[in-house]
Amino acid sequence: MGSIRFDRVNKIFETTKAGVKALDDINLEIAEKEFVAIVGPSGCGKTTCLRIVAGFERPTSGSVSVNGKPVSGPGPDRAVVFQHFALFPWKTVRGNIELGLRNKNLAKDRRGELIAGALNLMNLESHADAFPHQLSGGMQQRVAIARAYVLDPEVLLMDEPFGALDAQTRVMMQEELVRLARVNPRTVLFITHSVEEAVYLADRVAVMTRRPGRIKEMIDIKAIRNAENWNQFQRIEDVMDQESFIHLRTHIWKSLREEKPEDRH
Amino acid sequence: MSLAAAVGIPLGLLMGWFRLLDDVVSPIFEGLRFIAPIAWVPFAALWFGTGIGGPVMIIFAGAFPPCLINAYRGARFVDPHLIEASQMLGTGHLRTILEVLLPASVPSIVAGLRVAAGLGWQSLVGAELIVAAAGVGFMMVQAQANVSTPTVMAGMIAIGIAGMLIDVLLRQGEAAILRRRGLQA
Repeated sequence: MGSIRFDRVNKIFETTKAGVKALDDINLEIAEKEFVAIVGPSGCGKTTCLRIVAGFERPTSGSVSVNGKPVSGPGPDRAVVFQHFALFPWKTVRGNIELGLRNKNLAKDRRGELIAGALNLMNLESHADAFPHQLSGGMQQRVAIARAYVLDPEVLLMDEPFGALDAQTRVMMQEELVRLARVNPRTVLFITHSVEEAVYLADRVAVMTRRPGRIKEMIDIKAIRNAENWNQFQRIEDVMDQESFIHLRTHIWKSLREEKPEDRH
Repeated sequence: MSLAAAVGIPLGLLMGWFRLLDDVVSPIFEGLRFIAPIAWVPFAALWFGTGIGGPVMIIFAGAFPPCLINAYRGARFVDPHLIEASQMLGTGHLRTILEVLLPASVPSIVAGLRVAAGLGWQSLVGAELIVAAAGVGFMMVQAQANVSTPTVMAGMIAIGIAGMLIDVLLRQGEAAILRRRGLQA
């Protein structure tokens, strides 16, 4: 449950008369519970890919399906974590997390249980009745992740979720996400600019070309991660010290470099 | 004025959310909006006589447009990411309007209420100057007929102070709401 399939997806935005071609023939299959990261230069269309799975955009041609069914609109089966959190400022942490559950018409007791679980999972218990503006960026993003997780979605869509956080908080959140992914795995589509982040978090990494975005390369991380047993390391800096990690990172970085016009020879 | 708010705010929010409603209602609204409230006086007098209906209609004519417009603007200009988050969470139309659009539009709505209060108040006094048997406006017209300048001045000052008090109350309400949300120190 939670497989994603992009089938010959093209996307043209009609913002100018000629139209802007954002995606060019995207074909990608993501298996259930697989963690796939998409990296690519700015404007390459990686966020557009996520938005189509989320149901916020429609492909111009081709189709995107989840569990074999074409995506027709947003929904709690494909929960989204946004770069700038998108928390409702007039609701408390609890209120933000609860909205999705109320929409599912769950009984009050059940909601309470699930919320308590989510607060515990994301270390937010002492902040349950705070308002978003009273929290740091890292905590706000934890609320956003809790809000998504509590829905028990088949697919988790994360659009540069750590991009608005400072470097140290970002690293902490990456470690937390890995911990979460082990405890409670599900299909994840993760968009990022950061190659290190992608290699650290993902099972596979898709490298996109610059606009119009095409998938240039798929890199299998999981095989290497398992072979080299990165999981033995608790801390991210120990993983990043591994030769295998560095090799992967450099390979992807070089691939991305080719996409910058000034570096083409 | 409560009537203007009670009708204007929900209608504005609905028009902001349901584009189709907007397309139907807007032309009618725009057509009527530019009739100055004072110009409604003869109509009101004919329809309501000297009862309470007349002043109510005049105030409504003045207060309704800002309530509607500001609620509409508030709804249309909500941060699209909040709308998307709400959709992702599976929120239905009514809940979206009540729990997302409405709270997000509060600053705009309150601004509209302040303008509406001002316009409604002005319209009422203006109407009283023309067609009334009581009230401050009536008192001033009488005073004018009797060439009693101090009374006229007193009337104007009273009007100004009353209007200002209404505005101060609304502003405090607005500040309290914004403080709760942390949008204002």
